[in-house]
Amino acid sequence: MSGASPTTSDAPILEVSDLTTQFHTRAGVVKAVDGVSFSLHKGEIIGLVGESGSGKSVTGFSLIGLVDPPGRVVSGSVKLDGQELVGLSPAALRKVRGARIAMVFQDPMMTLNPVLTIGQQMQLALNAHEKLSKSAARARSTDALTRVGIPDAEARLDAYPHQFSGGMRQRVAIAIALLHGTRVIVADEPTTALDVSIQAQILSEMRELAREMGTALVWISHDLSTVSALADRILVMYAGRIVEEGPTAQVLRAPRHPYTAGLLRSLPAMAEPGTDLEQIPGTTPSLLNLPQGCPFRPRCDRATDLCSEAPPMTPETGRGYRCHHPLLDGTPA
Amino acid sequence: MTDKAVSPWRNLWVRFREDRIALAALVVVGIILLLALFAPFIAPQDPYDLSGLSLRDARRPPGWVGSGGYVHWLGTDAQGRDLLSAILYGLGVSIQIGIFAGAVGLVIGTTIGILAAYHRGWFETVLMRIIDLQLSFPPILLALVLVAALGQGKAQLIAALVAAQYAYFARTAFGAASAERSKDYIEAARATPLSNTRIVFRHILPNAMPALIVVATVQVAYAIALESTLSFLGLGLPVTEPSLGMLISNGVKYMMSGRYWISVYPGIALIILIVAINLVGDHVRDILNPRLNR
Amino acid sequence: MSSFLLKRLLQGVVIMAAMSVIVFAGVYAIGNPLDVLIPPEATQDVRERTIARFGLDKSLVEQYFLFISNLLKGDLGLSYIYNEPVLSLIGNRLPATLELVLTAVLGATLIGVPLGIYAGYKPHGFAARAIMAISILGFSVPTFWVGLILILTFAVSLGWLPSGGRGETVEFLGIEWSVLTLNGWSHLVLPAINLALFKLAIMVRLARAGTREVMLSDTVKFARAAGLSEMTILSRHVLKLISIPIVTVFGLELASTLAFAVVTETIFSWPGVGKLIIDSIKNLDRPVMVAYLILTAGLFVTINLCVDIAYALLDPRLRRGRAE
Repeated sequence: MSGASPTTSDAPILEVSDLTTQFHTRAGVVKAVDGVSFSLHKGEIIGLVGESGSGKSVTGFSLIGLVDPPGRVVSGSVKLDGQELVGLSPAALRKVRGARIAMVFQDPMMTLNPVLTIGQQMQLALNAHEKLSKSAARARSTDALTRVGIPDAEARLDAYPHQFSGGMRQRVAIAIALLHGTRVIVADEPTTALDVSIQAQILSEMRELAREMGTALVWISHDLSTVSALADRILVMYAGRIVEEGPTAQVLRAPRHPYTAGLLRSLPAMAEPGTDLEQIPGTTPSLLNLPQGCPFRPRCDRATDLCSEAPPMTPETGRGYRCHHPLLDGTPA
Repeated sequence: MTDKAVSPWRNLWVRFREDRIALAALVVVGIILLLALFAPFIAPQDPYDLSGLSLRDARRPPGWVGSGGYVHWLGTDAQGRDLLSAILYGLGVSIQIGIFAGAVGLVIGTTIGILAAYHRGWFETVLMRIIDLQLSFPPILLALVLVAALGQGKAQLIAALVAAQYAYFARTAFGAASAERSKDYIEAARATPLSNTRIVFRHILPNAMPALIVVATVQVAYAIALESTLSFLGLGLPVTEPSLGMLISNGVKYMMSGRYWISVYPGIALIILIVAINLVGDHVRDILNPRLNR
Repeated sequence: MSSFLLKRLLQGVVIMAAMSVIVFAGVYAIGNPLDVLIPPEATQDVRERTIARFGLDKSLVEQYFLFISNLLKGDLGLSYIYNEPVLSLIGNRLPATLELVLTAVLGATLIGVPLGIYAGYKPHGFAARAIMAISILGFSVPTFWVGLILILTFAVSLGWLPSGGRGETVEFLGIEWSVLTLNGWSHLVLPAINLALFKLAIMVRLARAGTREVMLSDTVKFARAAGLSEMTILSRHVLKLISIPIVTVFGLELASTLAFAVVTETIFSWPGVGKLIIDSIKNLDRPVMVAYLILTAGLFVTINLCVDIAYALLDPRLRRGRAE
């Protein structure tokens, strides 16, 4: 198997292994992230795909150590440039966040502070890691805004978030994430709240920025089609686990896991013309009481008795799946 | 989540039980209610029976054995009344006024609020403007002036308290009802021959109820506090049936000379009552706040 | 912005006009002032002269318009009891009340907001629970009772502070102030604490509720993701976000504290307007009641207007848009 990344084959920037995050609630223990492993190389873009409730957002928050209580990373490891982040003190984690790993969220209207100017917010983010004079901070902020394609950046520093359009606001958020030459950006549904045309624009710009600056991206989305246009590799998440992973083209062309196949069949672009879009029957299981064995079993038409035992991930690196009855009749990988 | 799932009241109770302090407060409120209700049987003396009082017993400290032959555990007041008895009876008077004022305010305010929410247009605008205007005006001033205008007496006092408080209920009912009203199913129900009363009583009122209950608990506590304040200022009830506020007020002049108990014990009773009610109301409010229940 | 202000100003004038009618008619309904004004043994001649002097022979409507036209000339009439112009009666006592109220509300805000933010930041911690317990106490315990206990403790038992009066004052800008002398402060402290406790409880609750909500918001998550320290998040992001409701309540509380001063002033014999209004209610001194109520309403309207302006300054989203 060749290295996962198309650009480099050095040591990964981010190495996640067996990450497990649980929420201890009144009703019981919610296993939101259950043994997730993957690695990310310089400039690489990974698409983390799953329905809502699959644990993909919690995975994102676990990476930067910001899981809200009662949630907690209970085991596993997140290595950023070889440094272990799990178990780091809050103060040490804070120094990493924003400087070497950053996060962008779904709705920039909600993430940017409505009562502070863009310039003030960027200065706060800059001062979190560097001591800068006001004018130096302005210069750096202007650069960052220009880089993400905001025209007349200098003047826009004194504007408030509500004076920007949705797409521009998300660019501002991305600019803040990039302020310190961040190595890894975790983007949680960053374009979902935007118009389709603006989505496409931001996607291509992000791709270019990642290449140019060598920033690696973890792009979290429920929308397989968005991710397929952007990501080098795709991880499909279901019920807190990665059920399939591989280079984008391979996963799209020849899905192995029935769940991935189901997701693909429900995409308008993938459907045979003239046929109805298919929906995966049933709903995402509650993470509180998962069915025994393969969690997809109740919704799967290929399920057998064997599936009452949880399937392991196939051993190859870079291309794998968790299924006792994979779809192997497609184009060989 | 918004399904008509399990009975919301049951759910409320289950979550209420979890907070020990709130549960304890509820028990305290219950005990106080029982004490007030059975005061004539518990109290060693009938404090309203002036012939049973002796001035020889006046202003005696706690533990004094009076001419009645029993111990005045909390001392006696300026008329020689047993303070424990006076407090037990006074609790009843304060609670009665608080509950009456709260209940009447609840009914009037809710009616106004729902009417305003249900009949849109100028009616709503005018009504809610008046309510808002009144809400910005301090209730204590309103009550002061009204008590002065209406004269002394239980009914007058309750009327003044209601006038000072109904607006809170109206605001809450209006908020809940107009949120409910804009939901599709009410629109749908209005299109059917269902009567308006039915819609209000079956759909709007039950949904507004939890919020109104919270306001009601807080307002009962507030009415009790307001009544005691008015009594303290000498504008409350007639002296014949002393409420807690009146008892406190009567003792103030002896406070400086060290006879603290005449004011302090009724005050402690008053505070326990109000704090307990507020603790209960506070916790219910926390449970009902949807923004904290994510 | 200016058209918005103009609209609010107009609204204020309408409210004031309405209030003056309500207050006048309301107070008119109270008791018979003749019993107060005229001693029972007075001759018929004295009776008639007194009635005419106070304009009590005219109809309610006539009296109202007379009152309004005098009001616009700066004349609020004569007190029945003190036989003094109401305006100077109130004017002499207002600074004392304002001083007390401002000290109390400012103190409550400066202490209450940080406590509330902390309680909202760590809502389940021991300190937060203690803060909330105290705030419920401050919220529940009637002001007059707290005043009595303060006097009992600090004046009677410990003898540290005086139990009443205003103490030494110093004239500044033509007004007597207690805050400018040490002795004045010693007199001011207890009543100010008394008056502030309830407001403190409100500020704590407000700041706590706001902080709890904001802490769950994506704004805070994003700030944390950018590596901001918790202190910076609280002092820059959270404080600014919760300041809007706090400023509103600050304004409203300032106004309602003026009313609550009635109780505190009575207990601490603070020579302010509160004591005056209680006496005037007890003695049916109509002109003083009317003037006080209208004055309070006027203060309300003014403060509300200021709150609206502060709102627009604090929330950039309102700077345009709200002008309509």
